[in-house]
Amino acid sequence: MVTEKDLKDFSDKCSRVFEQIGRDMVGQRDIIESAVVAMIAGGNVLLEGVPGVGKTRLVRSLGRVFGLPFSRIQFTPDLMPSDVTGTNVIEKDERGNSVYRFQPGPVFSNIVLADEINRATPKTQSALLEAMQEHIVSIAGEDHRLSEPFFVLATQNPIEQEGTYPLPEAQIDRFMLKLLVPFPSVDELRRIVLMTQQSMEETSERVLSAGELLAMRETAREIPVIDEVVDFTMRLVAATHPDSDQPSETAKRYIRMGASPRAAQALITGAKVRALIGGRYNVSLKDIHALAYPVLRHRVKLNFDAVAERKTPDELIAAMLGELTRRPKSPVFGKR
Amino acid sequence: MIKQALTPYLRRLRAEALLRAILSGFLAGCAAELLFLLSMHAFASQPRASVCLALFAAAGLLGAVLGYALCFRPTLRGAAGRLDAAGLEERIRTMVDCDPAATPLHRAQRADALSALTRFAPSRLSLRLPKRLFVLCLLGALAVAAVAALPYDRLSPVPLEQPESEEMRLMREMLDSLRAQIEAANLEDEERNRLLAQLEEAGGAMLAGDGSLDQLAQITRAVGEITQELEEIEMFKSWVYRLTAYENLKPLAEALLREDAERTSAVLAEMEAGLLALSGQEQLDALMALKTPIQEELAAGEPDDSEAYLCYAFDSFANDMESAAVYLYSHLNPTLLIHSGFERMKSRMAMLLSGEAVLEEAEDSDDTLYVSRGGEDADLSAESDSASAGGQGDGEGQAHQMLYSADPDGRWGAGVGTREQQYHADAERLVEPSLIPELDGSYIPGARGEDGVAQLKPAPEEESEGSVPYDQVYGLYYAQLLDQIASYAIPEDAVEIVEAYFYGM
Repeated sequence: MVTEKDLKDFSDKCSRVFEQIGRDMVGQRDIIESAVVAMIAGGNVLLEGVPGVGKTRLVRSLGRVFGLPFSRIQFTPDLMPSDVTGTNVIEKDERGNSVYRFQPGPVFSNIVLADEINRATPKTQSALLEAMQEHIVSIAGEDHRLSEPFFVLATQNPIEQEGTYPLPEAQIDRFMLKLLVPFPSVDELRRIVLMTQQSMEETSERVLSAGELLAMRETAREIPVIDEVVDFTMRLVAATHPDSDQPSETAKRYIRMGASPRAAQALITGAKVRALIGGRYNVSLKDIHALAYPVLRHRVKLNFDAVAERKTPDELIAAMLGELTRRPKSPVFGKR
Repeated sequence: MIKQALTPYLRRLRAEALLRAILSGFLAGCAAELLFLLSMHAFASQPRASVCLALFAAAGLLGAVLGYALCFRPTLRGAAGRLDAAGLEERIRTMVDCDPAATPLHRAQRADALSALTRFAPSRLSLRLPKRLFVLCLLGALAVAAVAALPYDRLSPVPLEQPESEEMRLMREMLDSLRAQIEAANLEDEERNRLLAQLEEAGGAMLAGDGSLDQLAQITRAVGEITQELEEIEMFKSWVYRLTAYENLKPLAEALLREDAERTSAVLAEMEAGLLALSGQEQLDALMALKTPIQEELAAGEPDDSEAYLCYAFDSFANDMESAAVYLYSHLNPTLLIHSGFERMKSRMAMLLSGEAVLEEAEDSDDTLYVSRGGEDADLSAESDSASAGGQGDGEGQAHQMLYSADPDGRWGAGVGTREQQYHADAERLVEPSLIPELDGSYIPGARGEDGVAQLKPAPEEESEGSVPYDQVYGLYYAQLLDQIASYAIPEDAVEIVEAYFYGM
């Protein structure tokens, strides 16, 4: 059972996490908060941004702050699945016999940075699939469990599309959030340059341990959600589907395929963490609104009309939220 | 504790609910008032202001009470929702929904919600009154005012059925009666339709009018004109109308055309008195002047079957007058014939005008005889046979009877004198060529031709000296014959021969 101490500690710890990460990162408050939410909620994050905006640095800082082992996989077109998961290698034992020994791959870490994941082949990308979802790696019929907590923070470059392999829907759906890392502002850029001129090293310190992170996860799961918020969340996910029983006008016009049920789970779970981070002990519609963009933007598939009209997923999500927010009123009394 | 914490906000929301209830009550009152006023307009009945106000108040109160109780009364959950929407981020709703859970998390949530609530003053909870409701109330008030201001008779789609006045009822009955007359009258279709159209126009004016005396007088005039026109058409169509061309028959014809029984009887009585006041040639001329036009018009006209009895009565009357003329011409007293003829005519006209006269064909008769009901004409066949021009046929029986009918005073009627005087050689000479029977020659008494038949010899054209004109003595001779026959002075088997002799004369 969640205690008052747990609740009080949660907020304190989160504050310290942000504080420490802020020593390594300039700005990007929303990105940092969303990433922390995903980590506490136990989800994976896909970071998209132009090179040099601090995606890798953020992941490394998260690893430092949470005291979790961090590994980085640079995805290249020639990267093999065994380069990710590991493989059995032949070694000589003490008696000189040849034996197979499992050589774990970089995925065997708590935090895995899959850099430029869209550059690897689908075969290599799928090697992460099982790990991301099941936290298990199967090699030669033998399951190797990954250590908890386990996060995959993947990055992808939105500019260089040549020679890239778009992530399949099944894999992209396993990312809880997709965060768009923006280019820093001029002021932020100045600060970045000034900071890195002095030292490029991350200076953030460890705030939490793995156990504390798991405890925070359990605490967040207990946060109550009222029916109206749950109902709104379900209607939001259903509204992304053009052929659902409650489709939105936006979905009918611009969306080819809507979000999966994982999106609804991600919204509720993330909203609980976000509420606690905000010092609330209940989920609010505001949390859902805030998480709708990172949760849904990589899950809705646009149709040709949306592409032709240069509609972005965020614009469509905003339109769907607007449709849902205009709740039906009594025609005479305006009673809600 | 939660309820206590939410009480100030509930109080504010109750005020909002009350205001909404009042507005909805106002709307309900306007709706009820509008319906009431429209129904009053439909029946063109102006309602009383007190009734309108009472209805508005009752409907408004009911609407307000029901609106508050069923729709607007704030609940704890509703208040929590309003507070969360105002910026408390579902704290209050979560607190209300999770109550009375007492886990550390729920307690912390509750404390957090109450803490947030203390920072949210009740006055910050804005009262929501939908603009649409205001607009509807305003429109309702305007609609009620507009409908109330309209005149109540102009909008009435349903014509008022006011109770019919006595004058209108009588007028309507008169129109119905006249309509029945027109439809039953013997008219051409064009004439009937025209009269009916005039009648309908008058009827329409009556319905559309206000029943005032002027209007009733106007309609009465129109009906009178239609009635007169109908009478004129009917008069014109009647065979009796032909008789109006004759001065001596015109009063009788006019009285009959007007179907005035009393007047008809009076005219006949006058005619009889006038006729009996005459004597001699004057009386004979008068009798002929009565019978001749009637018979000519009967022969010339084509009376309608509906006037069969009328024509029969006139035919019989003409025959009676002719018989009287024959009597007079024969120097017999026609008084009783005249009297009986007029009496029969009076009786028949009375029956005709009262509607009792019906004509039907007699059974088992070679000739078509008309037997009228009523009793008096039961042995009409004998009387009709007696009416013949020139006194031929079986008129002698009637004349014979008349001669010897009872005359209490022993007098034969005015102007004729006593019976003894009848046979006086100084009896007035009467001239009426039509009564002289047409003969194909003159019988010479006693002479027989080669075929044994009495020969005819033309009578001398000129009177010889000392001779008496034949037509002057014939009557005397004929009267003496009848006397002899009555006294059985002539043998029975010779009666025929003697009668034939005298007919030949």
